[in-house]
Amino acid sequence: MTDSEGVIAPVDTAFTGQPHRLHPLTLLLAVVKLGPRTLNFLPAILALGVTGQARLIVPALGLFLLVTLIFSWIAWTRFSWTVDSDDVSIASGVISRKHRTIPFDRIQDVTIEQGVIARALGLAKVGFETGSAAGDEDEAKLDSIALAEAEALRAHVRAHRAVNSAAVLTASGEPAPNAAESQDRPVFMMTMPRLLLAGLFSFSLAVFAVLFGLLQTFDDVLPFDPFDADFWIGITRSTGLADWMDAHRWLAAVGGFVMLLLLGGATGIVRTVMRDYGFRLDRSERGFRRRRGLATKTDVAIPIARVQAAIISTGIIRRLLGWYELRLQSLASDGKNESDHLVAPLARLDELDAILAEIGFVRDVGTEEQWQRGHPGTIMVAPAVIFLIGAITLIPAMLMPDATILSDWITPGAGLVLGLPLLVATIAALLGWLGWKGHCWRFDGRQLHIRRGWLSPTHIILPARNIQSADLTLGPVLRRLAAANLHFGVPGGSGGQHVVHAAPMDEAYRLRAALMGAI
Amino acid sequence: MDIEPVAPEKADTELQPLEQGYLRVLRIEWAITMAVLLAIAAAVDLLVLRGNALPWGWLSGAVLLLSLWAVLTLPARQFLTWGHSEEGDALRVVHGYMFHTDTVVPFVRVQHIDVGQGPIERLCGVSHLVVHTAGTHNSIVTLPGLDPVRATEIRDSIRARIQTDFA
Repeated sequence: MTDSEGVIAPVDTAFTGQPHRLHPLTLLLAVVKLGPRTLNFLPAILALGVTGQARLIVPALGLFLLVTLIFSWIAWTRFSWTVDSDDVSIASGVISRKHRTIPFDRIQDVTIEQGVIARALGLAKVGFETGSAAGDEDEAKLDSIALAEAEALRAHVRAHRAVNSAAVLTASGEPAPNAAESQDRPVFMMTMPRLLLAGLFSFSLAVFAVLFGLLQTFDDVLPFDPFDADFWIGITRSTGLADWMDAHRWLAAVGGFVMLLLLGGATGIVRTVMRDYGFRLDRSERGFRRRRGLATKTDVAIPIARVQAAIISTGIIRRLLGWYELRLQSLASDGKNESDHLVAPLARLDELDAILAEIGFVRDVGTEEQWQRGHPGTIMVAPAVIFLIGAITLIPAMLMPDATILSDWITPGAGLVLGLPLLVATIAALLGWLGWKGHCWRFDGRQLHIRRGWLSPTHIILPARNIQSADLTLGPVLRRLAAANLHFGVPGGSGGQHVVHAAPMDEAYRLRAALMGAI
Repeated sequence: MDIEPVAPEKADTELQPLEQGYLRVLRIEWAITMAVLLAIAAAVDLLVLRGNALPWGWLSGAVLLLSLWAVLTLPARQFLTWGHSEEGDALRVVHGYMFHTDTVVPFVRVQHIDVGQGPIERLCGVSHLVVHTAGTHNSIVTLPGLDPVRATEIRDSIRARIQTDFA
């Protein structure tokens, strides 16, 4: 790092190894920040005034100011920051001490922030942005130091990064990006028929919820009450529709059902067309570029370097017909509601493979034996709990001779009392079995594949190098089964979906060791 | 790539226990929690349960017994479930019995590191180490009950292994 130090030598010599304090004027800032907070003292001041002790107001305020200054000063003396050759460390805290170390390699950028007063005083707040997921609160801050010092610090960190990234580029031997290659190349597009099909698959009855909500809100918009059965009966009687419906009851039912299907389908189509009209995915120089939208057009860049995992999902019907959708989990999130970037709303598997190949992901399914499954014992956990709870609550209810709610709708008999929980438990067992059957995983030496779900099957492709941490957890039930869950920390996305459930203990440890070895 | 099977028992023997000081930290923390509970129970006894059929003060008595049991037995059990090790290029932190967690964080994935000491910890002569990763699940891994010197040693050894990794 000697090169980078040479660039800004005059200021840098002051950095290395010496602990620094914040600027003394920070104390003044602390007092100024207190300004709005003194409002809390209005009642106290008022009380002093009302009780005829108005002369105490000024001393009280002065005391408050003094105490604040003293506390700020103590905090100030206990705060120090040090810049070493390749990291920044910050020591803080009066009662609880904390020493934070931030390697330059992990600092994405250094932010410099100046409020009005800070600007007048020539101070600046310095923030270190790291990739840490915990959010803004947890980022390290220097509040505040002299502006010149802040700028020198930023230059120092950036110089370090510049030197290192140059080294990385030459080391990996990648040729400089050619200008001719920067042409975008289409990878995937949604044709109109396919868009309509995708709309059909996103069948939704949300429109009824909306209509219902509207009717509730604007009660008086309609000249009649749509929830009054008599009103409808009256209409059908008067038009003769009632007789017809009586005569063709099943036809009326089918008609209603078809109507429901049409409305649901139309909702899905409208929503999908609005969102995905003109869907086009291009391979750009650094990654993907996605354009879509009818009313609101969006143009999103998805750099390959930021892609953490690929998520292929489908529905139970879509799978039968061979349709899938593909999302990419990225460091950036895709709009407010969605955390993963949708890169193919409805596609065949070979189309997905082509998209994945662009970013070096392989959806290699391998052979059946290569996939690992969870402990089958987990299937019976929910049913057992349901059965026990059901039996325990129903038996006393049956034994009570007088106040039996049950006897009204269940004919007496212990068989039924046990039968009802048994029925629910059987359904739970069936669902558990489907869930177990749908969940499997496989590590191909480079990527971890996790499959999950039966109603909406999902296949996650997670390259081992993107795993930040691995948690092996087990509760009382899994302990009995000698199994464990493996949770993986992966940057970006909504989190919590990279989980291998109920792996046999040996397999869990083996898988984790293999994944850690691949990082 | 190493795909050697690691049997759980075998892996557990390599774990290092925490400093004895942390046992005292746990005891003090439990004592504080139970003291608060006891105060609440006493208040309820004094204010709400006066005319109760049961003998006066039964709630406080019960909570007192519970507190004694908790403070005398739980910290030791809790303490024994903790373990940590540096395995190759990763930090491993294990804790919890009923709900057991075994976390591995590769050093190259650490974003920044904290070494801290709260007032109770200072009293008992231990520190804690916190590593921050970029993952959305479990991005903060805490290892309590370290000797302050050892904590900075681990910090420095992790620090030394964080390499430039321009993803």
